[in-house]
Amino acid sequence: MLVNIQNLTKTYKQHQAVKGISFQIERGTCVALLGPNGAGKTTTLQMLAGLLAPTSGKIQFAKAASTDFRQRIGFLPQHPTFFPWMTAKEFLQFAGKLSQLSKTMLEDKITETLEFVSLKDVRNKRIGGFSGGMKQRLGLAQALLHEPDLLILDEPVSALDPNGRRDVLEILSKLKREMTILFSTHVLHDAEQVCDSVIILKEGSIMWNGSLDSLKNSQASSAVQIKTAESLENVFEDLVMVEYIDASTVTLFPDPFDTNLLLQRLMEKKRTLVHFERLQDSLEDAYMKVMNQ
Amino acid sequence: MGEINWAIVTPLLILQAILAIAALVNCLKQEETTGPKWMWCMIIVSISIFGPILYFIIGPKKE
Amino acid sequence: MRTFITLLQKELMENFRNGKWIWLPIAFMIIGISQPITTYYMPQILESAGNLPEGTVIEIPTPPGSEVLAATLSQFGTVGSLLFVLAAMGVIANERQSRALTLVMVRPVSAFQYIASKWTGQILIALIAFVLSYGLTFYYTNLLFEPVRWEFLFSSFLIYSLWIIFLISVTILTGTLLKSASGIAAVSVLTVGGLSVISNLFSKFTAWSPTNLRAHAAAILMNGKLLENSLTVILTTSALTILCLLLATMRFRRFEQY
Repeated sequence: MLVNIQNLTKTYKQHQAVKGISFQIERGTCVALLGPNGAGKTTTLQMLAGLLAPTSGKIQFAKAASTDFRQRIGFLPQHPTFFPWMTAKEFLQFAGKLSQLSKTMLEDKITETLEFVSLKDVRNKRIGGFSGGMKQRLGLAQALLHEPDLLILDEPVSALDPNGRRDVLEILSKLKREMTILFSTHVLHDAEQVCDSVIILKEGSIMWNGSLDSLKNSQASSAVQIKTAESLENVFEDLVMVEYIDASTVTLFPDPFDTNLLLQRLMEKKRTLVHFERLQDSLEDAYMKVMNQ
Repeated sequence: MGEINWAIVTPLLILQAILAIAALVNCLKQEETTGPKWMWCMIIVSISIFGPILYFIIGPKKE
Repeated sequence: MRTFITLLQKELMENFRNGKWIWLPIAFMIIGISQPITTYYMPQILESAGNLPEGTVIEIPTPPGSEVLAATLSQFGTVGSLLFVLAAMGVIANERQSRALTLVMVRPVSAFQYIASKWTGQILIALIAFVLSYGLTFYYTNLLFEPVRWEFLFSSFLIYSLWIIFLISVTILTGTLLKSASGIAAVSVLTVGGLSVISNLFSKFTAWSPTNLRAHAAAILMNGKLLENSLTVILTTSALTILCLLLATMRFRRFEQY
């Protein structure tokens, strides 16, 4: 385990932005913090990055010598702002020195990182003239520079155009192999593309924490499709909710979920089963169900 | 007015010129200024000493 | 220490690129040497400006150089102090507002290192501007008037520097209390100005006030020695300066968000 978060709470004057959430991040995983705007994603990430003091709760890093673990974190804010008068290279030098990188290592790391985010050609240009996508990639570069244990990214792609979005998502997929990544997004599809596990946040509380597969399966068992040789009229009406596709094909929503009961009924009524299928929810459906709980 | 000793006064004029030119160059190189750029150029050139200083303090747009 | 040096280097480079290293020293040099030059040409200026009857002879006694330098210091005390405050007002507020501070504070930087780098950076520029201006004015004064002694010049410089350091410390502290640059300048100027007025009104009870440093510096120039209570003033000013720095650090640490 890399980080252990216990009962993390942030209260602004009247409003409780994060309501005592607890979760763990395993080393080498990629976790998406998913939720609509205002769910408390940014607040949570800023507390993890040491930029915002939690009202209460604990953040523990594995093998951390002190409570200041900023050295081991790389953070990309939602809208990274630099010093516009610096060049990309100057900013990385500044950042690297603040993160205690040695002089000899610094130059190599800067060259390597700038290459990785494809900013090598503009390294000596002033950041003031950079586009949004370039700033986002430079923000990624400064977060990676000191090889942190945990990379925290706040909505890394939401402000980008489709091209910039694809670039950054590709970079993240590559990084996933080398680092532990925690990133927030309000787009399920982005989470699905990069990560294998999600934490779903709503109004400051965790609604779901687990792998995407288990999320999909957790909500999948709500419908069954049955097709028979004969008509299905008046077979299930008294038992469950029925949706007719045609006379001999129905979708059933058993509650509680018991397929044996349905098959039993079929035998009682002497229908010949042609097709039986448990309907899988799409990830979207599962997400919406979790959100509407 | 009597004779002016230019050796005494010239450095003062040179300093003022440097100040104005530095402000002008900075203003023209600036991507954006608070208020129109031409207005700042006018202020820098026409008001000696205080024009350039005023520009340096509030002219360049902060992000 | 390396963190502090890195932050300080960034301050110096920033002020180089935004022109502060040019305008502040030059503005000070202009303010400085204007004093001896206008004093020197005062008779001619009066003659050309005033509607004096034909044949009037103006007799203005040539002041000693020390008096001219003291008048320069008094210029620095008003216009100069304002310039120092204006130059330092935005150093913290701008980075807070633009959120550039975020990418500094995600790294292992302490509040004190940050505040100290801002403070040192501003003081370096201010003192260099002051040294250049004061030196040039001294040169002019010696050229045009009765020369001033070196030691007097040097001691007055030291005393006056203490005032500048205090002024910038107050501005840095205000910079952690407010978010708008103009508000920071206004509060700093009002604080220091208010202190100055109170010290003048109730001089008996405010011998400790840092604003008296200016009078002490002038006294050294003229008489070669400090006024009464000089030690008290120096000590309270140093103490208040350190207090400002500590309060600024505490205040910075308490920011809700970087």
